Amino acid sequence: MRHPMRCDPRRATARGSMTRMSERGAAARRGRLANSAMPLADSPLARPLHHRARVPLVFLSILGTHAMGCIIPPSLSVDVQDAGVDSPPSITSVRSDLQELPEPGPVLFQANPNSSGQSLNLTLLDTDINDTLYAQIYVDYTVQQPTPARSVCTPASATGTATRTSTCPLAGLCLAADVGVDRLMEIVVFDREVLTVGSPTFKAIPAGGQSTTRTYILKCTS
Amino acid sequence: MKECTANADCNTAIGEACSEGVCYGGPPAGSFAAVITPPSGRSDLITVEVPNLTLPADGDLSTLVLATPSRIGGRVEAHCAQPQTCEGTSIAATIVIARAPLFPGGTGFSTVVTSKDGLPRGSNSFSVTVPRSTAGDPPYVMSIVPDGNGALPPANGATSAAEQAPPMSLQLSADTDIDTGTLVLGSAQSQVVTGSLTDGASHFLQKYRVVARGRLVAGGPVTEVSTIDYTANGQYSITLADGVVGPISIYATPYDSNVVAPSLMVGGLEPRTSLRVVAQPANTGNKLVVAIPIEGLSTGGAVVPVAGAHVILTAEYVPLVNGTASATLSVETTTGDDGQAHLTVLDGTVFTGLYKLRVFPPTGSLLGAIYDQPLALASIGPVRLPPRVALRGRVIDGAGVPVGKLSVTALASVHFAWSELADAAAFLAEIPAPTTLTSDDGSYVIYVDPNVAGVWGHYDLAFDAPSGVSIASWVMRDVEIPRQAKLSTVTLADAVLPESAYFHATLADPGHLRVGGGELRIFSIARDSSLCGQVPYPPANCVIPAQLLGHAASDDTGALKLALPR
Repeated sequence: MRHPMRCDPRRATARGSMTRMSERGAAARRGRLANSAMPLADSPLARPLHHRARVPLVFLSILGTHAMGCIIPPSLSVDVQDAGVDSPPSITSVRSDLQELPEPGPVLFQANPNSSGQSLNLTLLDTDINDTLYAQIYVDYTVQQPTPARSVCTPASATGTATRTSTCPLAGLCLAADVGVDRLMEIVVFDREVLTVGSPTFKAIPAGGQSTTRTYILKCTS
Repeated sequence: MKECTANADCNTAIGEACSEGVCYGGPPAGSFAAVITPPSGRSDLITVEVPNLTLPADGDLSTLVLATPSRIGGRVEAHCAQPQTCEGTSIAATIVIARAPLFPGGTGFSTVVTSKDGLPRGSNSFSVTVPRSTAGDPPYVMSIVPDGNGALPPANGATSAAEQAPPMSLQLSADTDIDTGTLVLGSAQSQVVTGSLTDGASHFLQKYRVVARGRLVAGGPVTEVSTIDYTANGQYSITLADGVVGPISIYATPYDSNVVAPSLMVGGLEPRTSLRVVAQPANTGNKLVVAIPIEGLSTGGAVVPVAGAHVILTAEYVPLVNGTASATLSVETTTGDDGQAHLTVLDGTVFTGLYKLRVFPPTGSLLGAIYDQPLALASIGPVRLPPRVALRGRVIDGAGVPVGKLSVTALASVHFAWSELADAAAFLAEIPAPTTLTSDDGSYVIYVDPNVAGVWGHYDLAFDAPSGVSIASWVMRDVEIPRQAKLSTVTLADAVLPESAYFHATLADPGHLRVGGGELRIFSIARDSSLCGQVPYPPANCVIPAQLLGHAASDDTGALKLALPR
């Protein structure tokens, strides 16, 4: 059931009227918003704000100088969503063949081209029940030196429920050059398909899309 | 799931039984194993491997009990070489404890823990839990690698643990809790190798990371087996791990980001080596900036630049004379929107004719990868990425109804990987597996590299149903790409949803309290190893990897349900 609006959202300013839960595609890099779920380039271990949340939390608005801001709590219902409000995805669990992986690790994987059967299973949550979720795994990604995803996970298609699952093959996660060196592994879930071009490189999604990240210290063995 | 009110509603001929309104059981044929993992919040529980799992005919796996672990604790110190005065505090190190699988083709057990730095004697610096060993279990291998062994020396000018102490490997059994005591890395008898790094004119090379590589134990993997020396003046001194198995190699890698220089390697050395000069070959030349255009055919047939391609250019000089250093220059970048790969290389004659190009296309591209394509610096032209082959198919159920929203992933099969030399197999593994969803009409198209390094492709197509849909995942194994040079499409026969066999279980701890958030994974063990004789490069002691058939997490009541393909 939707909460009744207490004000007209059309009068809310574009900036500062509501604390954003996670990055919105290419607009994410304009300004630093207090509660961004996308890790900042200089703070790679920042934790997503809505870590393990089963329902979106109600956020207080931050009123700007010129704000006609309104307190509009996101709907707690999974069946009807305001077309203008995109709920961000969240990662509720990450499991390997051997264990559940809590942040920040360290986590251990083998550099082995024959390990084609190894995989990570993600349990994801998005109250936008019609969104397909796309997850990818990056290693040592920085905005200054972006690197492509080491693993592209299976799309988590919409089935009318908030919970989805996705599987990430791990054959290419650890390279020979990674053995014995600490790396930073990011599991990023997007609620839009990742674009082949755009900013940030290899992580660009259409405007309006959102993403969430889990970050681990990755140790690779031979 | 098939609903029922009584057993008569189920296929009792294959063993199905009605429980809580669902037909469970009727297991697939084969040999199975299982891995049961606890939730991360239960540190008092540990992973259990069940090497021989019998799937019950009625689908009731009953209660699966997680185990209590054995705890391994101790402390790590560096050997204090005379006449130094040492504080006797612990050093930071990464400790990996691994055990071979208990069932053929399994992943085994491994875990990692960090030894804390600076703890005084009398306190442990690490503690970790592992599955308790029982009679007949393979031993645990504990590898201890001091921290601070990265590509760059410590930023604060301090001496890292990796510069003070070499790694160590030991075996142990954990049938009970174990205190290893103090593990001292290095000893008074540790072999020290010293020498100098010089260029082709015998000038000392500055800012190189020097390390020895070899095996810590006989038959073990090749790994770093010495301290690290971040030499700034061309003189190096490294200490080998005790008991290292030769031959060893000395690797020197430049760490000055302002310099373009090759890595150097001298191999085939005995572990008793004490003095070794590592001389860079002459005529490496000067820096040269090159731009390599990466292009491909668009769907419209036009030639377009490829943005986001990962480009690696490598030249490896191997000397004709044994004992002199080989030199490898490797540079990499990502193409911009203009498709250009800008790289800085060396133009010396020692590398003439040796440059080779590797290109990984952007994720999801319709264009394929390039492996070790020769590149002449004097005549760089556009590099055309080959087109991938479209695997087209359709998924239907037993009644011929199309099935939409299934994920389809093309993974290089074991047959493909074992048909490649090790380096090409590693390259193949680096190509992200393409994945897509079936449309509402059940159709899918997925683009794969038809061949890599001259080896024609074989792919496993993995089909997964979305969460909440009770369809077992399954794999269409070893789809072979026809050996036709101009092939653009391979149309596959319809993939029919296999029948699903449903199972249920309860996870509990040794106190019989139910455990939520744990997971059960069921694997199929390959009994036919004939593939080992059919491929040119099977691994030593060839074992076909066990295949994950299905997995499920337990709910808050400890109950879980999963579907396996029949």
